[in-house]
Amino acid sequence: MLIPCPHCGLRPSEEFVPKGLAEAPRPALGGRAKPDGPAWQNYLHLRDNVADHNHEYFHHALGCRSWIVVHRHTLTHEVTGATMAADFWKADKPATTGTQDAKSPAAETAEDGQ
Amino acid sequence: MMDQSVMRSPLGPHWTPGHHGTAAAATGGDGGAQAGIRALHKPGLLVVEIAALPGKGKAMRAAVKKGLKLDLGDGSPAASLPNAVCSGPDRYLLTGFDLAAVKAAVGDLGLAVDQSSGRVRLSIDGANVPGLLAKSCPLDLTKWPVGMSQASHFLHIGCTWYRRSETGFDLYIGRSFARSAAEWLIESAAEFGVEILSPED
Repeated sequence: MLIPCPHCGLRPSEEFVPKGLAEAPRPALGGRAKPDGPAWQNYLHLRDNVADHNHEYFHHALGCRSWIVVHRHTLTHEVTGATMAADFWKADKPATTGTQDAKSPAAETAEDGQ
Repeated sequence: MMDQSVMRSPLGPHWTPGHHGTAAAATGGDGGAQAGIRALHKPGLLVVEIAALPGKGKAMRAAVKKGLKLDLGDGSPAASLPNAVCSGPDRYLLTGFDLAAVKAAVGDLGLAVDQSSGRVRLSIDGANVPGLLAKSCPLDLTKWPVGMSQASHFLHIGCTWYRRSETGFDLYIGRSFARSAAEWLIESAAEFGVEILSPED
């Protein structure tokens, strides 16, 4: 699997460490006085694990050491784009490969099979 | 900076000047007299790592150009220089510059940290270097122009590469990994023959 690091270009997946879904909103910390246990339980452990394209955090550990968000299909491993994690949450997200929100034929096939 | 005369070599006891591995060059030598790979480590290299604060990359490069006469272009890895190697987004390893001079140039646009004791530079060259990289580095040499840096790994040891010439590369490795990298390099290059050059060369 090749991952298009926004800084380094196409690199083998062995250089990266996957760090989970980027789409899940991070709960408020709340502090020790008011910890939001159920919200953090959901955030940390209960994921949808959809068979489709996902935005996922990856750390380019054996490379430029950037945190990036990769758009990957969980069944086919098709990667259709990546962006810097710092830019992912900005309102005006930069274009990745231009197909970030487009579903691939493989994704549609997977959905049809469910 | 620490007195170099009392520092132990970060490359370990196996890194000794002279010939290692097979006696003759596999290819490209002049009658087999020359080793397929030549390797060099010069101790005492001044290394300063700089990193721009968020949103200050362009301004920091302009300040470095003004203060240190280093033109880092658009900040891409392809715009690296032999003594200013891009190791990440808006991050560079500068060699041969004093920390105070770099700090003065960068100002409050970024951070500068002395890595002279933290990074080791190994230089390799020779006709068989592509053969060595084929089994130690995941990068495609055909898409790697001369003068470009790449943050990647050497035999799964994280490093920053810089391509000096068609067959010449610099590796910047963390000091605590350098001994392992040096031993792996000698072992991996043995089939081609490797000549470890004296630092005075």
